[in-house]
Amino acid sequence: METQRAPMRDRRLDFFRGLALFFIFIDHVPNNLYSSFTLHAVAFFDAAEVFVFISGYTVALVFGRTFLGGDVVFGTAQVLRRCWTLYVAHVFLLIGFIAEVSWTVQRFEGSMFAEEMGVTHFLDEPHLTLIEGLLLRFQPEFMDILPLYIVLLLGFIPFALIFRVSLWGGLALSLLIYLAVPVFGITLHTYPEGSWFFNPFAWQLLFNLGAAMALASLRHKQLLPRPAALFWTAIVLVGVMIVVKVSWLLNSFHLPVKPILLRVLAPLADKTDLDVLRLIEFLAVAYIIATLVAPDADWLRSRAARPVMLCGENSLHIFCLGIFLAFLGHLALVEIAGSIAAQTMVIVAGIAIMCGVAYMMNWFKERSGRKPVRKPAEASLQGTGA
Amino acid sequence: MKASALALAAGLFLAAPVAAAPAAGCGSIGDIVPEWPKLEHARIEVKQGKSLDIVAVGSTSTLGDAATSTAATWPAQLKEDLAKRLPGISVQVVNKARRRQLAADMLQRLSDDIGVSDPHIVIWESGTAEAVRGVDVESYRAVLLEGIDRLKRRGIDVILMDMQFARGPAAIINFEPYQAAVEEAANMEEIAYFPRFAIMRDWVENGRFVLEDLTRAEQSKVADKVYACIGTMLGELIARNVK
Repeated sequence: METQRAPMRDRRLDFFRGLALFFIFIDHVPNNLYSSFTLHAVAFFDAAEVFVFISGYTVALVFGRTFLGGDVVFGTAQVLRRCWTLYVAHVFLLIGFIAEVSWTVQRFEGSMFAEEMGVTHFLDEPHLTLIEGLLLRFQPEFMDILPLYIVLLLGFIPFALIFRVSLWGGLALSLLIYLAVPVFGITLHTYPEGSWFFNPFAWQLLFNLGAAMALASLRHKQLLPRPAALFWTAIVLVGVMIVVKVSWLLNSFHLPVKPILLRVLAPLADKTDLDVLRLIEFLAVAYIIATLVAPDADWLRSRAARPVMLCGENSLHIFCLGIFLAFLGHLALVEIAGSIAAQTMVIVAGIAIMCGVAYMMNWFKERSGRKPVRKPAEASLQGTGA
Repeated sequence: MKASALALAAGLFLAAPVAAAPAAGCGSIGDIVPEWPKLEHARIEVKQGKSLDIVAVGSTSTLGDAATSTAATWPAQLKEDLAKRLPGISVQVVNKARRRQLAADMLQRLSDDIGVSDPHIVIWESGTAEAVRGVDVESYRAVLLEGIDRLKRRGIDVILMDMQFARGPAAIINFEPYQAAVEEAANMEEIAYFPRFAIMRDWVENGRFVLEDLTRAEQSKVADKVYACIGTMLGELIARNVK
């Protein structure tokens, strides 16, 4: 992920982030068949890791210049403006969720699902719920990833200042905070009880790793060595992990070692605290892909890759859109039909809408002159969507 | 209200001689339920032709408030079903469920619930309270593993059961991680797992049961039917694995 003399857009970022956005959408439509075909079926990590890492990278790429150049105030302002967009999207989702819950409780009250309806008791204190929601502490289903992103973005401000002085210093601090999670159990709490599904103190490590790599590339330095031994270690590691994970998936796969492996490895693959297995496997895969795929590979420019690329380019808005579409899609599956055909339609429609909106945003940019109209051989730096 | 329970019992009774399958209208067990290991301790008891003691530990859905009577709860239905499938064996199913109980609380009460004379099978139903309250998934799984170990050490066969499914609740509560935790715990400990969530989801998607927009009267009838199916499915599985 190095840059050459003229700043060239690393198209891999857009592509894989676009792909991650599709996976996040699919994973957020609950009870759907297709989530078994996403990353999580074969790997210990999933689209969340991809998204957070690439977002860290892109945020640093976009805002890093301002911070590195010394204009800390403006850099901070830019980051806060991004946070505001995400916050508005979160509040919008909050209203939608409260509406859905109020409706659901009417249909299931006093039935064999009385205990499940306990989740609606927050409706008894709407004023509290609204305040806690506005404070990002109310995180029912769907509402856990946006607050994470907001907090990570906010956290970038102090880290950018530290990275200015020392990249490795910043990374060391980030690692310390990550290690403090299992040792001290630090996390953020939700209302009425429990804690954030994505522990920001753990996930910030991935975000900052991406940011550090981007900042290194801005200074035309390469952060990571590239010896062949590292590459092949990564391949073997990932290969083994895929075999293990897939064996867990197949019920019929009976090996005496399977329960033992489960007992040992499953606790190390927890999503909330970004456990080691997830982190290591993701970094190994990222390393492999970074080595195998050139920043400007031809297939990344193809027509087939274009919708994915455009989604990745406008990732902030497509991300919010994707979460919202998952919410709507699930509503449709619940209220109208839940069959496999219906699930397929929801997934296809959702991805189509995400791509459609990405195309539209791209058209706006081209028309308003903020982005040169795309010619096949051109590389463009504008239009980043952190 | 009582009439429907009687009708149900009558239906089950009539189905008894043909009983190789769960009560009509429940569908077959099919591929949804993974293969169970043999319930060794229960098997020995049944071979000696004595009694079969089962304790059901769980929360609101096991307690069965929504059923028309205690005889319509799934533990009671299980008892009736097993009694027919295992003639000559005295089957007891004790219902130790409590409303809105967390697995951690069930673990604390485990010794009391089981009592001095160890049952042969414990059916441990959990996951709903955890999902509703957003409990830490890893701790939940650790609680399950601890409980299973304790029961195994006392020579008791364990069957894990997860939460109920309906589209509405599943839309607003994140059940998936907790269902996965139950399944993983069962796989780790190599014990029987009754995937109620997946079974009920299959019922809903095939239109076998409609669980929403019901009137009060319809709600108890549907609850009875669902509990009856759960009870008889469990009965078939247990009978299969103690013979």
